[in-house]
Order: sequence, then structure tokens, then C-alpha cells
Amino acid sequence: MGSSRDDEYDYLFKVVLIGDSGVGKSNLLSRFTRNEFNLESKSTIGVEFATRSIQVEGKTVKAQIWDTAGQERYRAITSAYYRGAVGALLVYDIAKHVTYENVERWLKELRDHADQNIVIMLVGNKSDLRHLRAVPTDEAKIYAEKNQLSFIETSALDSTNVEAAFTNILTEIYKSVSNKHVGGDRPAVLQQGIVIPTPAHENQKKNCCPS
Amino acid sequence: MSMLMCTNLCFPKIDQIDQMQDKAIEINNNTVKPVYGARYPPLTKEGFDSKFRDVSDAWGLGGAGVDREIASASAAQVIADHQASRDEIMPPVSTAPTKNSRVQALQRLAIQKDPLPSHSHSAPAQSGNPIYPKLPEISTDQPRSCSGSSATGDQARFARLRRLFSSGSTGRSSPPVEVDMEQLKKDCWMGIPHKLRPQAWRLLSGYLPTNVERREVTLQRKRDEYWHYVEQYFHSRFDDGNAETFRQIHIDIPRMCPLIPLFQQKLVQEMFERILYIWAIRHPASGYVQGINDLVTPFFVVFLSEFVPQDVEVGSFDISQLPLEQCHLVEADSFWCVSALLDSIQDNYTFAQPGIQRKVLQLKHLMSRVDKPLHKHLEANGIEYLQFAFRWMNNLLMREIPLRATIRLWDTYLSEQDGFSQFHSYVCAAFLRTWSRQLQAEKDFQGIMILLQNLPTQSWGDREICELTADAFSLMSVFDGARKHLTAQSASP
Repeated sequence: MGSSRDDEYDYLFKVVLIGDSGVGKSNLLSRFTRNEFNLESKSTIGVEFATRSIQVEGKTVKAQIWDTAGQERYRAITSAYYRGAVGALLVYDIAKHVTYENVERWLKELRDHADQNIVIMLVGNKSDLRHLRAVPTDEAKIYAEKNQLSFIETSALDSTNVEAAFTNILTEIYKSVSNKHVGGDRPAVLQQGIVIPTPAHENQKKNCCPS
Repeated sequence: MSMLMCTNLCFPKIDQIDQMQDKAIEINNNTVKPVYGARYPPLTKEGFDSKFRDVSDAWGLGGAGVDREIASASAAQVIADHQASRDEIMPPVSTAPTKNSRVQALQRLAIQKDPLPSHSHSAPAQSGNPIYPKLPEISTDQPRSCSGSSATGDQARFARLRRLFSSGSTGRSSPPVEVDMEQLKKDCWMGIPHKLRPQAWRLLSGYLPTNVERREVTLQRKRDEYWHYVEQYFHSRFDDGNAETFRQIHIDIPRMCPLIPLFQQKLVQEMFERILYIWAIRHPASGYVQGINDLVTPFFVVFLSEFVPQDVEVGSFDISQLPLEQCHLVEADSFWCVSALLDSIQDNYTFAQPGIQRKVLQLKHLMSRVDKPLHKHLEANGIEYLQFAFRWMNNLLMREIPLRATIRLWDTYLSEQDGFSQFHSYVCAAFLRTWSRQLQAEKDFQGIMILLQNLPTQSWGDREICELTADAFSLMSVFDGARKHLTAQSASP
């Protein structure tokens, strides 16, 4: 309960931002939630939290976004933050190939610790750095398809696609959840109102992916 | 000395006392049955309940009303009771001279707040104390604004400190050959005059020898040793095994203190790169972990302040104006002192960061005792302590309060046994309950989390740190006392 004041919403989705240190996770978050960008923002320690609501098909969807620290040493702890997450933005830096190579490890991380129905979007950030591009768009797109992830390139600096990235993943989550809703059983609703698909709905997952 | 040499292979002994503390807390909860273990004889519930009831009452008073004034006053009352009656539930805070003056100071602090919070303390005794009001960025900005009545006490301890650090050439009272560390810690606990701070921190860190005659030689040797490490290791930063460490350091430093011009200078960033890389290479069990970079800044600023002209603010000082020799000295001293600090909190940064996990748990237990309404409020709204307190432990609250407040806080940490580890947990509890009212006014998860991530401490300085550490000290006295008492009880059949 407790959704008082201007805080009305139909759905509350928990989404995590993961990926290597320095790829721009925090700036994606601040661009989306506050329309701000900081060239020298402090490194994230542990997790940081922000929210924003958007409209999806006439419903108010509130995104509760958890920005995590990228350094490997933190993973043992940050994995605890995946609990209850229905979406993940897996971010790499298009100008730093190693951050793209590590996507594999982050996927494993999600498989090990997150709900198996979590919606994952691969995000190539810093698309403004055209002259420094190290990861071709097509390569990443193919990789994403192969791993059944949605894919987008963004720039938190010049705002390109940031809105789209979050809107897309929230819409995708919304569809998967509302599909299941139609399908009969209600999705599990946590105390804070986070909607998570329950394992029972697994078999319905396949037909809910938008193309 | 040996502390400095200690590599991170020698872990601090496991804190068995913590387990005991957990037991104590468990036992005191009404729902809980006594815990039996091989090491402890069976405990009777009544015995413990009746013994602990007084403790919880004392804290219940503060917790229920969520009133810091009352809480502090009751804390002082508790301490005063100890002093007077040697209450057997909570052992005396200390009969040792070290803590006596501190306790008195705490009592003064609390008592003075008790009758009326009239802020009448702004007037007295600002004039006499040359405590360097100039650099608001980093100084102990006001002489004891937190407690008017202790100003005279301050003068006495400042006089002792000045004598201790006088060069000896000024005549009548030359400094003693051997520093009395206990006295020094006592005198520094409540804050160190700005000018004396660099040398005091070197001593308190165990870096500067207490014996005056050995100082010159030792410092020279340690500084040479650091630069020898740089020569020996720094070139390896691009090697396969180390490149990732250096990359992380390299991307973290520019985003460390984005708003302080000093830290945006290339020369300064290179100094930090060397300090952090050399430390990481020599401590493979933890290596560099994000956040450690923050811990260098207080040392760096304090040691640099020695060479910054009076009228220039350290935060905007142009380091290229400093002779190379002095740059080197600041860098080497920062390295050794942050090394000593990190030695005391190593398991914060080893795999899975067990030190932090343990301390967050401790904080949680502590809060359930000292501010139950807040604790319940957090739990009811689905807030987990790890979600906000991880950063408090990992960065020693540096992300939560301004740098000048951190530096002042470290005066106390450096003067307190296990200041950066155990005492810090109590400081975190005191810090959290500072915001009890505001947090309870937030009625949902997001509101609470957003507030916890952006606590309004921008104006914090000496006074707030005084109150914070005083509160933490009373908490520690009560809970540490209870812990020791439990140990003593279970030891005797």
C-alpha cells in the first residue's frame, strides 16, 4: 500500500542497470529520471535508486530503477539486488570493446541470480562517440538476437534513445505481465507492489515477446 | 610500525565478540529463547531479562519518543549512572583515565542540551582559540561550538597539543622526547586544531614514531621506501595481470571529487594513481576496490595543507606551485597513512566484503535496539540495510557528509581504538537515528530510499560531528559494556 500523494500507479516494475564500470549506467539513469547528465559523476558504490513513471497503453507504469556498481569485486553483494527485478538493462560502452566482451559474464550473472523470466535489454551506450566506435552495431544486434535480448544504442550525453530504451523495456515487461494476467492466474504481487512473473507462467513466456 | 608492515595476509582476528553481541541482542528480544552453545554455559532467561531490562528501558525512552535530545540526555544519564554507581548491568564505561575526560565531555555535551535547546552556545569563547577558522572546506571550523562549557577544556588540551608539537626552539617548554599516546588520543578525540592536525595524524596513524629522536630518520626511510616501490612496481600497470586494476583506478580518480578543483588537476590525479596502484599491487587479497580512492583524500588534503599558504583554500590550491620535494612528501605520507587505515579494515574489501556485511548486520541489530520505531518503519517499507548502509561502510560515510566533516570525524576515528572499524558501526547507528524523524515522515519505500541516498548534510561541520561521535560513544559504552558483561557472566560458573 502506501501509494499516497501524486504517487498513483497501476504497475510497479523493478529494473536493474548492470554492466562494467564506467559504461555510463548512472548517467542513463539520471538522464531518464531527472534529464541530467554529469560528465564527472561519482562512481556508484553499492546501489543507487531512482524512479520515474511513464504511460504504457493507458496504464501508469512506475519504474523502480536500481543502478549498481560495475566493479567486479562488488558482484558478490550486488547480486542480492537482483531479487524481484523484472527487467535488466545490460549496458556496455560502444567505444570500449572489453565492456562488450564482458556482456557474456553479466548474462551469466543474471542467469545465476535473477528471476528466470527477467526481461533483458542489451544497451550500447555512448553512441555519440562515433569516431571512437569499437563495437559495430550489427555485431551487437546479432549477438542480442542470438541470446534473445532486445537491443538498442543510446547516448546519455546527447539523450539519443534513452527514453526509448526505458520505454521499450517497460512496455515489454508490461506486455509479458498483462499477457499472463489475461492468461488466467494473476502475477505475483510483492508487498511493495512489484509485479513479478511467477514460475508457473513460464510456458506462456514464448508468445509474449514483441517483435 | 609492525602495523604498517603488515600485508593483508594477516587478517584481523575474527571478532568473536560480535557473536556474543548478537546473542545478547537475541536474548533480550522477548520472542527469543536463551542460546546454548559449547562455549557458554546455559543461561537462564530471567537472569538476562532482568539484567537487560534496565538497558532497554534507557534506550526505549529515546527510541519511543524519537527525540534526539531525550536520547542524548538519557545516554548521558546512563553514563553518569555508571560513573556514580558502577551499575553491574552495564560495567563502568571506564575507570581508565583515557576515557574519563571524554565521558565528562559527553556529559557536558548532553546535559548542556538537556534543559533548553536555546543554542546559547554560539557566543562564548570564540576568540581565544586559534583553531584556524579559515578553510571552511577542511578545517575544524569553529572552536567547540557544540558545547560552550567545554571551551575551557579545549583550551587546556589545545595548549597540551601545541606544546607537544612545538619545535622546541620557542623556549620555555620544550616538547617531551617521548609522546604519551594515551594522552594524545584523549586530547585529539574531540577534534584537532587545524595547524597541528598533519603531525597529529601522522602520530595517531602510527606512522610517525612517538620518540622525537627517531622521527627524522624514520620519516626519511619510509618516504624513500615508498618511492622505491613506485620505481619497482609502477611500470607494471599496463601488464596483463594488472591492467584491469589500473584501468579501474584510472577511471575512478577523475570522478572522485568532481566539484573540488584540487582533484581535477592532472598532477594530483597522477599522485593518486601511484598511491592506489602501489597499494593494490602490494595487497593482492583485496586489490583496489572502488571507494578506497575516497579514503586517500582526507590524508592528502591534511598533509597538503601544511604547505598551502594561509590565505589560500586547500580545495582550490594549484599544486604545480609546490616544489617537487614537498609533493613527494605529501604523496608518500598519504600512502603510508592510508595503508595503516586499510590494514584496520581489510576484510571490508576482500572477496564478498565480509567486513561490510558483518557491520551492516551489526548496524541492523543495533538499530532494532536503539530506535525501534525507525527500525520497524524501515522494515515495514521493505528497506534493507544493505541497500543504503553498504556505501556507509564501504566509504566510511564519506559519501554522506562533506569532506571537512569527514576530516573532523577522522580526528576522532584516529584517536579511538578500532575507530575505523568497530566505532564506525556505532557512528553509523548514531548517524541513522539523526534522521529518524524525517525518515519516519516518509511514507513509502521510494521516499525513504531517496532521502537515505541524499541526506541533507551539506552544512555539516564540527558541531554535528561532535554530537554524532558523542552519541556513538554512548551507544558503544552501553552495548560494549553489555557485551563485556555477558562475557564476564558466562565465564564465571
